[in-house]
Amino acid sequence: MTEDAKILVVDDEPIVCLSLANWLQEENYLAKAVQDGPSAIEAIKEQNWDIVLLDLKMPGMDGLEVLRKIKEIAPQIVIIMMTAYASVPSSVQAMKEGAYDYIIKPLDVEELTLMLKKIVEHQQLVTENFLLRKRLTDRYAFGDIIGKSPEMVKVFELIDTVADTNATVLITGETGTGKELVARAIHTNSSRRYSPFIAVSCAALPDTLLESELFGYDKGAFTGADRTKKGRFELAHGGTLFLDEIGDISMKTQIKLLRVLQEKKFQRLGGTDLIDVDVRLITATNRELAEAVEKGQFRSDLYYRLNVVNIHLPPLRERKDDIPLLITHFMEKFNVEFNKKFDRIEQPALNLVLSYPWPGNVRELENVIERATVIDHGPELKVQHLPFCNLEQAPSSQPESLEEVEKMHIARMLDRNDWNVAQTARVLNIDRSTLHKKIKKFGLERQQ
Amino acid sequence: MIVRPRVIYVVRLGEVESEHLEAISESIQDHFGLETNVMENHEILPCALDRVRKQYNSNLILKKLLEICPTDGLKILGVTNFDLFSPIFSYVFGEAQFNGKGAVISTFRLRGEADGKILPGCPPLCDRIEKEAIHELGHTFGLRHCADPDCVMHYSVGVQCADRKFAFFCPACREMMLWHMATDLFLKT
Repeated sequence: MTEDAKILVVDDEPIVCLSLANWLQEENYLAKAVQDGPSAIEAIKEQNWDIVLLDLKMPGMDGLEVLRKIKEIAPQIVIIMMTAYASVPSSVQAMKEGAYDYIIKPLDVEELTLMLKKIVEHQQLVTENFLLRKRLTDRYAFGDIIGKSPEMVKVFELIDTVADTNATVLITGETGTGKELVARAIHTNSSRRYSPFIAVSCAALPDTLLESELFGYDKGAFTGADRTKKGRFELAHGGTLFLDEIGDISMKTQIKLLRVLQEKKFQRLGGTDLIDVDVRLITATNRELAEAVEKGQFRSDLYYRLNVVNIHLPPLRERKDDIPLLITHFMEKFNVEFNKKFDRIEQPALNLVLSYPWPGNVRELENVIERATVIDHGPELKVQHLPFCNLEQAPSSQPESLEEVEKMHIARMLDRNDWNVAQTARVLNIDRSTLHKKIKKFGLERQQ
Repeated sequence: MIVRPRVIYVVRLGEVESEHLEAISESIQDHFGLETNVMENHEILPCALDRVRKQYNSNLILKKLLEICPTDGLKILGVTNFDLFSPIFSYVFGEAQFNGKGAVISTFRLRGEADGKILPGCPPLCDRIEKEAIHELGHTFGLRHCADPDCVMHYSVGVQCADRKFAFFCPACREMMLWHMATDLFLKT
């Protein structure tokens, strides 16, 4: 609310309506006056008001009734009751029902001025507080990417630096770390933002289909090509083409891709015309492309062309500082989507969330919060909302070798079956003697 | 021949000290660069008296002032020593027609006490009256309250706070006032 705060005057006396509305307008407020309760409620439904100056005694629907209705429709509106001396007890009742204050008629101009000024200043502080909080959150976000850890801050800086260049970017990181979000952030912060952003998941398509998707085809290029179709390169002209899982493309497609990058021209499948394209290429992979190059699975010349700038997204387990921020972000997101009220996480649940390794990264965390907001109403995220807790207590460190996994699993099954070897062997689908051997081999003992 | 109004009339409503009227006239000439003329009126005040409130209705006074405004009157400012009220407010220092012709001010509450007595140590009453007159006339020239605490158009809560502002328009208000004045003088029919 600014100095141009919107004030609605509700009074059955025309002279009060007129004089007060005029005075408020002179005081730089946007004012309107109505003379009865139903008109006031209509006005409240029609547009937003910051303050209502409401007469207590009115014929028909009285001030208290109007107050209740307004509070039902728009509880954030500040209501000041106007009353004569005789009605002070009713004004006190009105304040109990949500009125901000009351003012006695005839109004004291200084009192009313100060009261309105105080409300406006308070509302300005509330708005400012909201904006500051939002700005604080925005500092930890780049588009839809959230994070305040040093690793993510570096990523944000890199996005900012490369966005307005035409450099080819290779985004690396585990699955679910948000590689496509980074690609979108680069596009939306570049001068190409008003042109298309086209994303293709290379792993999702078989090789021949990927080729026709990327480069399009001319009519008659192959059986079933009954019309000319533009490929993703053409569709992305002037904008950005994002190729996800680039490590999975075949050698043949790699050559074609390299040619487009070098010549900025290509031919549709079955076509003879060379088509010029102006496309910024961003690629992503969860594979170690350098290793693939060493093994001869990926062309080194293409690799160096794609890897002009590398943005590496750390897995969630390496940036645990961001987890509370991400939880808040996803809670807010799904609260809006599912009309829920999640706003905090209980400490045991937070401990679990922080110790869990999050193999599916941010996407997995998002799914967990989404699931919780679907099945419950909040406001607290609890241990029972975390699906991975139903498996077992999340181990603090993951076993790495197969032998360690086997040992841990056998110990867990023995515990679950109260060290009944026959029963545990049946569950594990092995012989009792084999189980005995393994217990001995791993030195497993029953914990008292 | 069309006579374009260009005089600001200052109307003495009942007994008002001559030196105050002279100060107001001089100040108007300084600020607005327009000719002023002082008029006497004894009929308006009795009509505006509210016997229950023992105050004078500023709305009614404004109406009557407009009725007596001469044809060459661009603005008309009533000055009284009596306490004024408007139907919605318990008292007012003055009232003006926003972007209109008439304004009225009272010296009653400018004297420092609710009973209109002058308090010892008060700044010269003339200064306060001058500021109030320019402020209300500013409204008739389409000026709203100004955020600059030094500007004469700043709304001050209480008479003591008003002492802190100057009797001048800030540059923005002055610019606005001149623009409105030009409209009043040359464009309004």
